[in-house]
Amino acid sequence: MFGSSLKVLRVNLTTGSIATETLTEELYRMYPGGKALAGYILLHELPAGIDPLSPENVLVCAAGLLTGAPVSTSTRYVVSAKSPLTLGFAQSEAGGFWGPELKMAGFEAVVITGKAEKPVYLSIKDGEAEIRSAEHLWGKTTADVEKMIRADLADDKVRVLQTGIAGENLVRYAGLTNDLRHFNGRGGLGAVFGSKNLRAIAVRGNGRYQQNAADPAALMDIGKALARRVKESPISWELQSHGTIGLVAAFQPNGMLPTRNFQEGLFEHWEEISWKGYEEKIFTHARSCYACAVKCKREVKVDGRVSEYGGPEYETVGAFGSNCGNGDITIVAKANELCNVYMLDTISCGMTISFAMECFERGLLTKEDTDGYDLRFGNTEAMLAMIEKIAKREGFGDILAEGSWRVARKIGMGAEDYSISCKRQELPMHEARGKFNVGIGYAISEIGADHLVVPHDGGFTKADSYQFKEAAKLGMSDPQPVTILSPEKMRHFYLMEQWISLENSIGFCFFGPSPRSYILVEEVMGSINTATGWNMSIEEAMRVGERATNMARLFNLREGFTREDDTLPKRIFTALPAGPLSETVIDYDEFQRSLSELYRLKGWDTETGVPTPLKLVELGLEWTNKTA
Amino acid sequence: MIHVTVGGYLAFFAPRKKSEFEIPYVPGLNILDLLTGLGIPIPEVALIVLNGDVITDLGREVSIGDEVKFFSPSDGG
Repeated sequence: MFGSSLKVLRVNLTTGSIATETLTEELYRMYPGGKALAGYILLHELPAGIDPLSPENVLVCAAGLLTGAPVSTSTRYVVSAKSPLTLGFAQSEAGGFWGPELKMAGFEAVVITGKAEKPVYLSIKDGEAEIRSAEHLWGKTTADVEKMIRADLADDKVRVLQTGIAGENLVRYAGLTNDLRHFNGRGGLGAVFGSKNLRAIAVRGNGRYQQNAADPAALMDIGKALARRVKESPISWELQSHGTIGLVAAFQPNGMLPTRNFQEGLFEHWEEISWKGYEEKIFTHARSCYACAVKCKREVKVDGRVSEYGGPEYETVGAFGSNCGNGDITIVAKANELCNVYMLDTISCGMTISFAMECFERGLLTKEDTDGYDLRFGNTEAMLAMIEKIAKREGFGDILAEGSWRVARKIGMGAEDYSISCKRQELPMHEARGKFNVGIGYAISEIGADHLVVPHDGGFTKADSYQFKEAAKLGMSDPQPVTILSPEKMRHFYLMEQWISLENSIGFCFFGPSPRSYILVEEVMGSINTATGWNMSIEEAMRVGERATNMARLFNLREGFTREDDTLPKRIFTALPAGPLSETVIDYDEFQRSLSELYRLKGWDTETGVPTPLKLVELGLEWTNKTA
Repeated sequence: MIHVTVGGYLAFFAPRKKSEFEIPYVPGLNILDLLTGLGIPIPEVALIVLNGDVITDLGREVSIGDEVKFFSPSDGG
């Protein structure tokens, strides 16, 4: 087959066995990597009801069909398993270099089962793999581990995907990093690595994507055109110029900058943590992922030196900035670095700390609980101290390491209302009260609240806008305002969710394809078809995305999730206290009606949200009736 | 003078792609005139803030010393 080796590396850490499986092209066309392939494997092989931190969990690291292609933003791979945080389907995407290197090494995915008796890492090179001791790596920082593995393997071009000390300590929101600055942050997949005594997966590959493309010249032409167009397209130009930090200045005037645990939407020190403050105080230069001309990554100084861990994105600026009451961008950069040293998801970490801050200010926690720290909003010393304690599970950090949802239930006394989470995963820094489809997405997402699996409302309000015109190619019609729920709004959601799910399957970054960014729909399809020689239509591509989302849904249903879990925290159903959104409310009854309408559009039972037998047949998922 | 801020990808259309700049006040100047004069496509404007208040009326006139901000849709990332 063109565009894929079809090879999956299978590693059993209990027995030490390593084998290679070859998929069929027919199967791969339906599950072309990433989220789709991971869902297929997990539904077949992971029994329901297992403890996600037990050896029974199945870990899948899957590149996408286009990962490593010479096309900007086609760099992503997905890590998937049962999440120790949500207890449901976990799926976290990352860019950087590891995914492309895995494809260059001749594999589409790595599936890891069991648990090693002692700490190990996996080394993959050009079609071969070996399990190596990681006892000397255990307890070391992510930067040290990367250096040590490269020294072990005598190759400084090896790409290392690793958990950190937080994952070793089974922090429920421990993440993974590759090249120290690209993250599979959400869902606690770092803890899954740690639970298997797996510190890292090192990859080295000498293949090149174009060598196996159906029409390498045409694929290269698409790539060159996209590279040239980055500076000519407003959206990609903005990503290259400011990264994501521009969102601070955009959210503040609309009263939707998450502030003090989502209690408010206006932050008095917003300017200090905006791009203006970032550029003045910490920014050094931009950086890229593999073969990507967008160059959206930011590099920064921390404590006066260039950090080897990269700079904070908007999510981290929000989570450790306004949402913790901190207006010092240098402290945000420090918090970001600490999270990356130990490998914690910055969103869940920041949000768990902000939850604790609110509990402290409301008198539900005292200094006796917080190891003597005056854990109030704006106390940056306490905030930074908590990050380290969480990673090492020391003192109060051992409690916070469980995530805000669990800690809330431990505290009681109404603390449950202050954990701003969906399906136990803390909300990202996009205020759903200002973007209603984002709210629907947080609620219905199989992986808990996540901003990169949902369509953001703002691009679809005007028929003449670039984003709407691109979405029209996918079937969108009838623009809708941002802060309403309606049947047409649900149709917007239904269509865009499939397209985003496709991106997460074939390896495109959120910052690549339109409508969100600058790669046109026909160029996405052109990339798929010139790589593979297929003649895939937009319709078939959307079915790939829909199939992947339905598999994740079925996974969760098996784990006992119901319609009741498709909801938002109570706070998000109440208006913000001040600002332009102070009279805007997501009405609970309207939310429920919209959810039922969305279920209907998806071909799910409108009451229960269970995919109907007809929908399963339509998607070729009849086999899911017989899975583990 | 009118102080103008263009946020998000709207800065792409601004003079020298600057996010903040000043333009001379002209009597009768309104928001639509500003956008048209700057070459900012109207469909790409998601938010307009005049002196700290969100407005939607493109016919709203501006005054000397006003601070006007335009933002594109704020998507995820």
